[in-house]
Amino acid sequence: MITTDLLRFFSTDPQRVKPIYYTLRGKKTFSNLLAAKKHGYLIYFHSAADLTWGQFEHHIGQLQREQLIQPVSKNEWCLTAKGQAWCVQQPPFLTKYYNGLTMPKLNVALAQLHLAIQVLSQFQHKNKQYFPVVTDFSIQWQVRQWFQRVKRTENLSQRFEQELTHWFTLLPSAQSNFVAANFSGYQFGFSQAQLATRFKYSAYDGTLVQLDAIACLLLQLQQVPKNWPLCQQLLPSEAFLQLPLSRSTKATYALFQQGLTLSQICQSRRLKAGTVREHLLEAALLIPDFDVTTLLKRNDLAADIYFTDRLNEILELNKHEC
Amino acid sequence: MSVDLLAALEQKFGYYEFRPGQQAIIENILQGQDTLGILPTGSGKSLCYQLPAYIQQGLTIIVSPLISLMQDQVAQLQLQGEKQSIALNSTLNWSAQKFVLTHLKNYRFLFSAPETLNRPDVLAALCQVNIQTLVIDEAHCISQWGVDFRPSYLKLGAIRQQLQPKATLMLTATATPKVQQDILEKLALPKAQKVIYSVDRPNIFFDVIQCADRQAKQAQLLTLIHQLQLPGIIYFSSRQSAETMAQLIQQQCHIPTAFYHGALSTKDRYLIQQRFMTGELKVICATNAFGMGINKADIRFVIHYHAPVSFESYLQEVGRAGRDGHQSIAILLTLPDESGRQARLLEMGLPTPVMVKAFFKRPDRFKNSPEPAFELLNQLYRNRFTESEVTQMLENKRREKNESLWAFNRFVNLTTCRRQHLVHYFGEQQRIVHDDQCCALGFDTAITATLEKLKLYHLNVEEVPSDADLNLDTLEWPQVLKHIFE
Repeated sequence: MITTDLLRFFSTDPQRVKPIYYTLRGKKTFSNLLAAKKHGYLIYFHSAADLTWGQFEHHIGQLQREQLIQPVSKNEWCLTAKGQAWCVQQPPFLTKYYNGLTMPKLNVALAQLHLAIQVLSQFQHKNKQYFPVVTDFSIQWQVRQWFQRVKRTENLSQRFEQELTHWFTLLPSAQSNFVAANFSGYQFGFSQAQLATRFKYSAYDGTLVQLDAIACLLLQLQQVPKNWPLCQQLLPSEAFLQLPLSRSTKATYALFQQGLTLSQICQSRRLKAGTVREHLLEAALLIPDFDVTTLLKRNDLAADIYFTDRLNEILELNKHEC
Repeated sequence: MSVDLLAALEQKFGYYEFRPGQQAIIENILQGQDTLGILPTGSGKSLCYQLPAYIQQGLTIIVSPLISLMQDQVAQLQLQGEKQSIALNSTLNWSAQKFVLTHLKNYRFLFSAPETLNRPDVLAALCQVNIQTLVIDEAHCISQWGVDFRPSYLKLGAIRQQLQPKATLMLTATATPKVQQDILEKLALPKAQKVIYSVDRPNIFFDVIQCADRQAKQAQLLTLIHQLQLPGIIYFSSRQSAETMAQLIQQQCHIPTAFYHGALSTKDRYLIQQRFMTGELKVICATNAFGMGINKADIRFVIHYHAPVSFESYLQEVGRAGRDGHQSIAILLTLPDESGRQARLLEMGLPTPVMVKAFFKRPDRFKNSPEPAFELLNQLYRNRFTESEVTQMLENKRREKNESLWAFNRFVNLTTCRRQHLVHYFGEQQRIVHDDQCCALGFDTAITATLEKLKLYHLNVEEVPSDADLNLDTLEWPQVLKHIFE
């Protein structure tokens, strides 16, 4: 990640920087999620998992030194006029399909696809001796299983090529060119670093280009699986697409959907009131058609100002979205 | 036996003869004799355990210090067409590790680190299978006297006793006599056979060029790249320098160049390795992360843009040149005041006495610290080293590193035969007969003449991509798919 990659997370509205960092790292607390949703960067959840706090602080300091952002209060920052101009002149890559919350394993899907392409290409060219582009054992295992299943398919390479062609026609051509050039196959392959230089993307943008493309493919596989027989077997969408809720929150949400009151949920799940409140706040924030009014009606726990204030904030946010 | 070995060598690897030392080690292993093999970098150490693994039944376990090194070695075997190899380490999730442990019989080669091998579940599973050879790669890491000491290697003595392999093979490229003795003592193998071949690589010319300042150094490098026979590797001490210079070489010399360092993704690392191996890339600008597992025979030069971290590293890195036996060159570019920079690098990663004190006061506080210095202290602590032992050990390590650095600086500034100094440092009594193919005496002030003399002078002109269709600047996705699948 380079310093100016962070500019996309700022606007003229004052905001705290810590939620940006925790969103990029993929830390799921309600206050982070709320801030990320409020400021429109929730989809970038977990998109820079390796970023350290030291690096992040360095970037923020650099943005301030270059007068691209400015402090509004002790903890809040916003874009300067120079920062706004930069965002207009050098717009970042904008994702269309990517959502880090519902697609937490896109890197795995991409690696599986890359390895499958390499395997098929080398197979087509009758070459058995090559460096596999992925060394992760579990990914190699998945691709090996897939290849065993499909390798007797008539015109296998041609069919796979057709599916990839179909996918690339759904994307802007520059994005398709970037993604395709990063494939490895028989006597072919450019590193992402080379591509980023050629396409003038930062490393972070280069990653987003790839993740957005694979997200597009996964959504297609989910919607019309029969159009993608080979890709569907390689990347079963249920393994890569999920509800944006953690396992425990899902369990709480399921009981809520069954009509239980909040104290009944506490009893049934043997959880503290605070935990159940936190789960339902998360669900209210992340599930698009969540019924906040019903939640308020079924709240038979002791009054909690934080809980009601946050719910009101979510209601307000949803109104704006409508 | 010899005839069969040669036949097996040809059949499995396509070679018609062994390199020095290989046959003696392989015969020892096949006879079940524990062996310490010290062979220079590039002499084909891996073959010493790979060939016996194809001749005898059973599992060969290779202990390796780094995950990246294990992955490189597995990839190298996969490149050779060997599918029964696996690296058992933290990159595998729990269920994958369980799968490997319950299917050990399906594997011929298992790479692992001492910490993993020492796990009760791993030991229990390994004790159920027939272990042919336990290979301890980079065996010098077990010695507290060595600059690369790794505390976890100390567990290997006990692990070996539990595994009961038919033979133990300790491999290293660099071990002074003191380190050799330490290796055998720590593994409780005093009767092991020793197969030691000189660290000297006669086909590599050692050269040092002193540049007036940084700008002059950069200009000198670009001139060299214009004149040197390719391919080659340039080593840098930082990722940033490797990236910057790779770009500069591409722009100014128009030679396909890539940078390589530890921050690249695995996929990019393999792509670059593969393109270098197949000759598409001619120059690699790298940090010391590059090279492990690289087995390209025709590398004609290794340039050190910055001095290496130790004499041992220098030898390993220059040893990647000329594995095909043809004339090659190792060039070190130096500045008049370079030793200060090296001294700072030397201290990197080593805990200071204040850090040691703070750590032992509250070890739990530093349990998850990502700082290399605290990582080392954590390892030592886990291996039950006391504060005074650690202090003493670090003092030794500092002294060893200083000695290595001092010896290397002497090598750089020498006006007599550098090769002689090098073999002496590594404890060899060999008398080098210096000639003009050996090394530069003092700083080389006429590099072009040196290259001409060595027949390594080659004016590099702009390279035109061999296949214009695959020029990245004009590449469109339909062409890519066509190239890949048709």
